[in-house]
Amino acid sequence: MNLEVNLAGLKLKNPFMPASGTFAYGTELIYHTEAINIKEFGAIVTKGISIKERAGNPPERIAEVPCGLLNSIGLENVGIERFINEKWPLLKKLDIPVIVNVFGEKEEEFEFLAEELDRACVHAIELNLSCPNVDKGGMEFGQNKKSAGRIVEIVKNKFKAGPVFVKLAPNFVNIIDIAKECEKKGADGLSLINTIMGMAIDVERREFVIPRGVAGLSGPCIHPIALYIVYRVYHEVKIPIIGIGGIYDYKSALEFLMAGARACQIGSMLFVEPGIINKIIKDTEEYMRRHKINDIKEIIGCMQIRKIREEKP
Amino acid sequence: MLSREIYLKKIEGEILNNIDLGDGMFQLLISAEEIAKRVKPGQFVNIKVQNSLHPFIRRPYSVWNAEDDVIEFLIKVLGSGSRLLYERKRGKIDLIGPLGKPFPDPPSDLEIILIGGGTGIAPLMFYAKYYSLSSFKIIYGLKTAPNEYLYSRIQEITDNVFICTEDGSFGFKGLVTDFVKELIEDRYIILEKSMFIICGPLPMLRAFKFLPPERTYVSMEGTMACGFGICMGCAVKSKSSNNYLRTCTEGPLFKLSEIEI
Repeated sequence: MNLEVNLAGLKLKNPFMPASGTFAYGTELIYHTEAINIKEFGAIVTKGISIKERAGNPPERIAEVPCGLLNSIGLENVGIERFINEKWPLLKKLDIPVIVNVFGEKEEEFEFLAEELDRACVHAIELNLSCPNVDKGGMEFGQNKKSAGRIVEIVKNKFKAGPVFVKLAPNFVNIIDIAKECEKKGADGLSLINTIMGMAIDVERREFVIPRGVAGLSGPCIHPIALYIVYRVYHEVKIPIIGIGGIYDYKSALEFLMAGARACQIGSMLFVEPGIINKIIKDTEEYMRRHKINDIKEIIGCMQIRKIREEKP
Repeated sequence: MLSREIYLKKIEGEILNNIDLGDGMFQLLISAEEIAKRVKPGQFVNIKVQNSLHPFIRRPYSVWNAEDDVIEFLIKVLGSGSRLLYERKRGKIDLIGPLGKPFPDPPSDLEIILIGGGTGIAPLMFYAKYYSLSSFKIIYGLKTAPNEYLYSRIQEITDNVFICTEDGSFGFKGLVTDFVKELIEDRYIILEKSMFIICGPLPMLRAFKFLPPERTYVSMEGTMACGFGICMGCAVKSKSSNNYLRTCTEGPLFKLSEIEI
């Protein structure tokens, strides 16, 4: 039975990996093998790394909503220098492809990060062009076709060590247009989707539950939205897609593969079930045995294109 | 890296009993040998209140007591998670833990003043019992008189307990902060020779900022998505740097001198 996938040159032993921001730097849980066996993961995706260390947003940073949660962490991270010196040496020993998620407030910052990570020879980059929890950068670039394409061009020019993925979210924009532009400018793959902008209000206090007001919505409640976006974009681009959004078991993960994703990332559910990725791998193998599937690639993108009537319900 | 004292493993416990203690509080007894053997005072267990996608995240509860293979919790019904847990009288329950840093070893040269508010009394009682403390006091604040059983459990640990109720139905009438101030004025608590551990709602913790910050510990409970250090949700502002600390891994107990509250 073969679960291997090729993700723009990255060879993954299976399509399942944690989503950025839900697995810290990937090094924290290495020795907690009672719950998680990281060595089985298809890849590791780090927290978003910026040039300078960032403290993140003041509390409250988390609010629970039906079948999901809102977060406003604000890209708290140790910065590129400490990441390369303290986290990367341990990560590269794991012998698993490592995708480093990066974030910048300006084009030059993305350029600098790409250069540094190229020098460190990390295996791949994921550009965070869609974080809703910061005032500058991130989503600003992902909301605009031209600026998203420009960042891709800049990063591709400097980062030669591996593929560059672009992480997008469906906030007020036509994600298909932006995805196509990223592909045109050389992106090697797309990570779809990031959290969706959301909000919660405490009616007793008449205050936002999360002080910033807006926050990122994740968890099973966004799964159908993410799945539909992956399905739509899959039929518009040729580059591989990583499906992300509310995966909570092997079925919700396989739905992404069938919709066209070549791999998928598991996020919020890791907080609830730290061993979820290992369980999804095991359950997928069982599914493949049950359905006599020899190669996972047989199901990737197996849903036929249907004429979609978006205007008329 | 995470502390060696946390045990990140899913454990299936069995609810043995779930008893209403009045004032919205209940006692939950769970059989979970692996946790009972490992847990130290101040640590918490992350409970999946029911096997469904909602409520989505686990609920962290401090351990009240651990004996043989049984762990005990003192919980107040506050939101949807605790409400569902209150209704669970029997059956299997999904647990992760123990998590968080244990309370510090008791110092031999200081009197330990344990100040609890509501269910915040739980880890303090476990602490006193676990270390068989000799030189200590418990000061406990509630809205109204404690249930007889709860009171008897405290008395099993020590006679040196002071109860404050907001409605005056038992013990000292008023807030626990005012009472502690009186005890200090009367030199019944010698400020220079005491260490304080405070566990209760955030406004209560804030009201104790007058205590010596190097010898006062407060137990925080910021909303956490994971409980084991990867979501960065339960942030507490550090005093020494511009950064945040995580309640679940660097805490839940912090020195007043370490954090801004």
